[in-house]
Amino acid sequence: MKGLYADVPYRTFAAQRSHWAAAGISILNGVFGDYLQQRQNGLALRMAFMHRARALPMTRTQLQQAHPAATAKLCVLVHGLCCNESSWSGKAPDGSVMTYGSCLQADLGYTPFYLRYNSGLPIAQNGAALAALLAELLVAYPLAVEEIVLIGHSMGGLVLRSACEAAGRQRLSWVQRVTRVFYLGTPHEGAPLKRLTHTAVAALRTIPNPIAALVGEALDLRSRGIKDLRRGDVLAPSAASGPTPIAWLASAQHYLIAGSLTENPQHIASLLLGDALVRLPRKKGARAGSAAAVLPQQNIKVFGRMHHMQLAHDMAVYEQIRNWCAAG
Amino acid sequence: MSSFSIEQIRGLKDLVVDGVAAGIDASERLQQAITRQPYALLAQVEPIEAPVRMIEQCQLAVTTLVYASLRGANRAGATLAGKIIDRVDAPD
Repeated sequence: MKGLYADVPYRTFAAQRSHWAAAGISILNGVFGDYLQQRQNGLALRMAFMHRARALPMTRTQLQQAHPAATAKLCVLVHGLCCNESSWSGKAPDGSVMTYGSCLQADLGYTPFYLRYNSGLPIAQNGAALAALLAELLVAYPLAVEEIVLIGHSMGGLVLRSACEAAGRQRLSWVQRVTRVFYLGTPHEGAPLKRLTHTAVAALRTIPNPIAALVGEALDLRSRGIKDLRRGDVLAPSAASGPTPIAWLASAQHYLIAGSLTENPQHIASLLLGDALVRLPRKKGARAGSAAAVLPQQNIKVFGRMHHMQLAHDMAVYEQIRNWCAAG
Repeated sequence: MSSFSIEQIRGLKDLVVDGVAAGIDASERLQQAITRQPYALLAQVEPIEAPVRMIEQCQLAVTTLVYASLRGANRAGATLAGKIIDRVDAPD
């Protein structure tokens, strides 16, 4: 399988130092992204598709240079909170670097696009920006696009849902070409860790002690993006009523991939902690309209002994994605 | 290949300066709140209330002065760092 991974994000192309600098900036954006943008700080990331560690300008020439063998089938990969496109890089069985994008390109002819964005901004804001960016991409793309597959890891899945909703609302044509959306460890129902933080902040505020108040204040500094993860907010929440439930894009198939810390997903540790950050989808007691309630069981796959970050670059997960994509 | 662009270095400097300033503000608030607690207790003893309040005001004034000087040092550091970045960024 050598030579298949020419478009793998920058881990293979840039110096290690650059890799860590980019990772550090992505973490800062995840934690303080809304503050950085508000202060017009030079560290604030602008949303872009990345090619070899650089933002890919949305012009036909640049796209042709980046993808000389472009196809009419696109796959768009959206990373999670505090990450960047390098979170997709993993090891193929032959030891080479792979991503789901590079593998889908080699196996099924999809042209991959890796998004980098400021994950500290509200999910709805990133969703709207992605909807506009995909519209730009389709205008500049050298071929007529027939099919789009979307893959989101963690928060990335929520950004994709938000983008599809925004595109539908704005009648952007790309959304009609989306055939499949994959959600890898996406907290559609919210992330328990974020809920715990929210509860801790609320509790600390009620304690009449200056140190407790200070700790509460420090915990509350987290970005709007992190706060949105508490309930899996895909749209901007209306003032008091909380998140507005949105429909799943009807023209596409939706697939949920989750990880569990133990081999047996029914183990108490996995039931409580899921993949360490996101809990497993459960049919029993699922909220109306939630992923577990809406998606057919055959579109949900739980991988044992797989932590949250591993979901973004594991060959077993890729095999599942490929099988679903190849199923027609 | 440089790890950070000059804009990112400038941003990092700004973030550190903002972080230090926020840390100084938070420390000052915390210290003043803690400082007030024993004085509030002692001030309940009527005969010593006036001197207690006076000592409290003195201590709070000294605290404010110390934190003001820390803020000044932070601003001076920010200015110096900004000038160094400008110098590096300046065309030859």
